[in-house]
Amino acid sequence: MTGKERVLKALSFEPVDRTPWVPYAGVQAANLIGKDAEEYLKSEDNIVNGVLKAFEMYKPDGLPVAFDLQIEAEALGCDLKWSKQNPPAVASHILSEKSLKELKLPKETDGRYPIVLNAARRLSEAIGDKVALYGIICGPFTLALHLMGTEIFTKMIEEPDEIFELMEFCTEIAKDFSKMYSKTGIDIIAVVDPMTSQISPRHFKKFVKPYLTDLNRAIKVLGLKATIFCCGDATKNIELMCQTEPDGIAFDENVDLAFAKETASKYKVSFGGNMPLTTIMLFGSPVENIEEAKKELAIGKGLGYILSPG
Amino acid sequence: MQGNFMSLEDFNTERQMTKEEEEDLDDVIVEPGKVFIEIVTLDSEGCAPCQYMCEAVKKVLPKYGEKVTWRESLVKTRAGIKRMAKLGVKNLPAMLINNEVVFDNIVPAEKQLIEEIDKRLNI
Repeated sequence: MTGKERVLKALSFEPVDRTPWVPYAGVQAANLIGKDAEEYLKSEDNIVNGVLKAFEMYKPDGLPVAFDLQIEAEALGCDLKWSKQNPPAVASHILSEKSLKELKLPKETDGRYPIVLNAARRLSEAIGDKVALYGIICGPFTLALHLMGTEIFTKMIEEPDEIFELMEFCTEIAKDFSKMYSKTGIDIIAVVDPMTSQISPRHFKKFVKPYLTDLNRAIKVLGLKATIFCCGDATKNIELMCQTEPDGIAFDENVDLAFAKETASKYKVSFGGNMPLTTIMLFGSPVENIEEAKKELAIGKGLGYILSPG
Repeated sequence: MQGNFMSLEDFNTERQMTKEEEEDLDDVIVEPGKVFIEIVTLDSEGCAPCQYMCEAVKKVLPKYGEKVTWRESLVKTRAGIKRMAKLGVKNLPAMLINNEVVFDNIVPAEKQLIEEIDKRLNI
């Protein structure tokens, strides 16, 4: 069984010969080739070289192409603040300057879209038969935050219709980007929506669930696997995430793996992603990382489990 | 991002501390009539929830002038991890007002945040 088959089978909730390993080597791969985050995420060659190096070093079953949730917002006109060690942060919210009606869906040639799409194409050709490649897109709710800023939290209470409209637009962008990725040869779309951990289940049901369900269905129609990623304490929303019809969910160390396994298994949804990022992966030794991975494998192993960082 | 420590044990020893990390992040003594907000984050430049929790605070600051001060405690530093353990904060980001966790993994709407600040300023 190749790594790619292993990941795709886990995402289909089918038996595998061993637990698949998917390190979400995002901007961290820049370190592997001696580049900083900005040099990395602005260069197709650096992304390709970084992911190839990660493939060589981490012996993964799956890898993301480029982990940057600001690509769509940048293409729509938000300014970014770049840093050397992190992906960029959104520094200005375009909806404070323009109305939603003035915004257009980004094209394949806008912003850094061509950089990541070309990198995805080259990586699919180079290693796409061995590992499952994930195209990362910004989840609709996080993109809505990027476009509007924190005013969204007030409007969700006072002017919900405006937010429904914004969520619809952000979902269209996500569908569109997924379609572009589908032509590059990648296997999986990871809808990364970290901001959904910052709202109540009631708001998740109202402002996120219908849009994520629509998006997951559209991704599956493209012939790709649909996964959704959330960070922070997503415990309260794990079941709702499963109800959006994804093939897989990923979460971080704040979610108890045994709880997530039980919940996801009920829906036959693949699950994974909570190796502790700071205490173990950033500050721990290789031996401590191995011990942690063994502990997680013991809890998670079985149908649908993918070992990965938070 | 790269780890700088060979083990968690090393990480916890003084010899691994850098100058920047030597300062502990302690409770702040809050003067009457003032409010201190602390946001414990992974890093507001690399984590969207952390960024937007900080933005929510920055947005209301002009309303209060010198009455409200704030700081971000990064858990990517030794001092930040110690602070998180001391406060009993389990999730990131978390917002403390006058050294008490008020918004745990929830970015408040402007009105909610203002209510919590006003309550402590007796407005």
